[in-house]
Amino acid sequence: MNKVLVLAELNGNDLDNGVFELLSLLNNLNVSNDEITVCVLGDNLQDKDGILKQIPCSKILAHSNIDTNNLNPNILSKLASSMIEDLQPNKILISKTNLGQDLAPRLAFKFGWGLVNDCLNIEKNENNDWTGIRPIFGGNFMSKINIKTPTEIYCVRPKVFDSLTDKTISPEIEYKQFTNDLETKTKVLKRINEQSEGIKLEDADIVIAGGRGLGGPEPFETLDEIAGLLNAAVGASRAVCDAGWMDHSYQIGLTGKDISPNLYLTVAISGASQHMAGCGNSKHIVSIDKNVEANIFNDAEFGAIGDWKNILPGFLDTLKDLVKE
Amino acid sequence: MKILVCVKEVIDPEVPVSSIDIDSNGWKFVPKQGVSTVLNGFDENAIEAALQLKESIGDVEISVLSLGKDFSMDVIKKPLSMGCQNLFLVKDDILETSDSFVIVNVLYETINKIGPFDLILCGRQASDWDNAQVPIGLAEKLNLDCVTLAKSIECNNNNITIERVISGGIEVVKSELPVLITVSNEYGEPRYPNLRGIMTAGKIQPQFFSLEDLGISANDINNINEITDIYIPEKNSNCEFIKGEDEYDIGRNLALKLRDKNLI
Repeated sequence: MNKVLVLAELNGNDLDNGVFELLSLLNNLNVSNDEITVCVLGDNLQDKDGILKQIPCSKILAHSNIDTNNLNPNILSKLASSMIEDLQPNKILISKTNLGQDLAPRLAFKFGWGLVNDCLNIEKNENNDWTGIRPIFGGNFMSKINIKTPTEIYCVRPKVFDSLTDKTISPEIEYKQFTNDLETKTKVLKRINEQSEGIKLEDADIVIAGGRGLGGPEPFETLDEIAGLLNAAVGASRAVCDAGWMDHSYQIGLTGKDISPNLYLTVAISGASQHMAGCGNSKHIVSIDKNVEANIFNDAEFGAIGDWKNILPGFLDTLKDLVKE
Repeated sequence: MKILVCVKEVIDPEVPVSSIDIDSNGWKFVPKQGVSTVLNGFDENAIEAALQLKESIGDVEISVLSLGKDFSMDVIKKPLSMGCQNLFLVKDDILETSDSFVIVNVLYETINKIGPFDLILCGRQASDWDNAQVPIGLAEKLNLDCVTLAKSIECNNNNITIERVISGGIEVVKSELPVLITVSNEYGEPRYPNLRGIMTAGKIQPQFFSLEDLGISANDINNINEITDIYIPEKNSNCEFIKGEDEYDIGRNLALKLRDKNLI
């Protein structure tokens, strides 16, 4: 029998999808509802029963009304610690969000428990022990990790699992006052949401992106032209943004935008796992690259091998003809 | 003001997978002959951040700390040639296969010996194990606040303002020294060492510590995470490669294929 604590995150009225994905992962592992407690972190939870009830689990533990300063991890690591001491779980699951990726290591080191960070899956062996699977070396390798401490923490990459939707369970919500000192000298002053011109990368039906192999900022003019014809948004790999060819607001990947278009067309992007983490939910990936061994072709449906300098003109000319029709 | 930057020497992340062997005895990466090591890229961003603070504040001493089994002096002395003042190295064979838990403890003991510091900077993660947990764990152990993923840092007396990269935008955070900050690639390109810097670095001797010097015995070194396997993920071979008479023709056929499949 496990005692699993799942952290959920409520930002304003916005319940992060992570909790639904973590519950889906637990469902895959045949963990039953009575083994699971969902702990919610957020502001003014007591007015938010209606939202919390959407979580398909049987038990929810929420803290009484406190100001978390915009989900400040320095505050919430203290609060989450109190919830953990209260529940004494043997497994903790956290979604790797802005908050989760800071919280998981803090909790691990506070309690001296092992953590599998950026976990992509959990396997269960015949003894019911769990093994976390995580990418290393930019996703070129995968590793399997067994945690040897009595409590195990898994920080799971978002959007890897589908959401669990079980309308038949309705959770009991318990509010508890956690009275420890939540003072911190670190304060969130403001959040600035990025504005980009034209179609937003995250909303676009078609995205065309360029990588380091383009060699400079100029080829992005051709990508812009193609995007104009297809009503697509333009993106870029991290190498391109780091080199200053494009602004970081165009960056797709683990350390950039997370996109899920119908068609993702890549030009000269090798497709390191950090990049794929931001576009893995694209329905169709189509790639142009000179290297047939490039990682991107593991995910691409169609590939064009060769020098983009020769392939793109053929693609663009044909596109213009197709648009005329 | 005293700044510490924690850095790691890693296998060049740009080399192909075929250049790296996996040693299942202790699960470590073994670079093949001729494959070079580099300073972890995010750590170079952290060094750059420290140097810019020194330039804007003036009275700043930057120390650099690294742990490992072996160091390539060309690589590990790079922060000195970029403009840092001190280099501390903890050297022990066992550190090659240590997990984040052990590394944090060794860093903690070292900082107790060489510190305290007003500001600790780290790269957001190391490009080999991609764990992103040592800096945050170190902050917890030192009982410091931690601000991750900085793209800009401004320091005014004890007050520090950080812009951090979050999904969908930027978060502005203020804190007070002492604090630990992790730096992301958005901070900007690290500088190249100039000739004067390289000459200066040549004269600085790193200060070495053994685990014994830090009061850590072999019995204290226990990984809490056990690696059971490392493997190369399976390839999907379902990609259809577009044919053509030449590359222009491939581009043409690609457009036609996408139209045919109703994707454009």
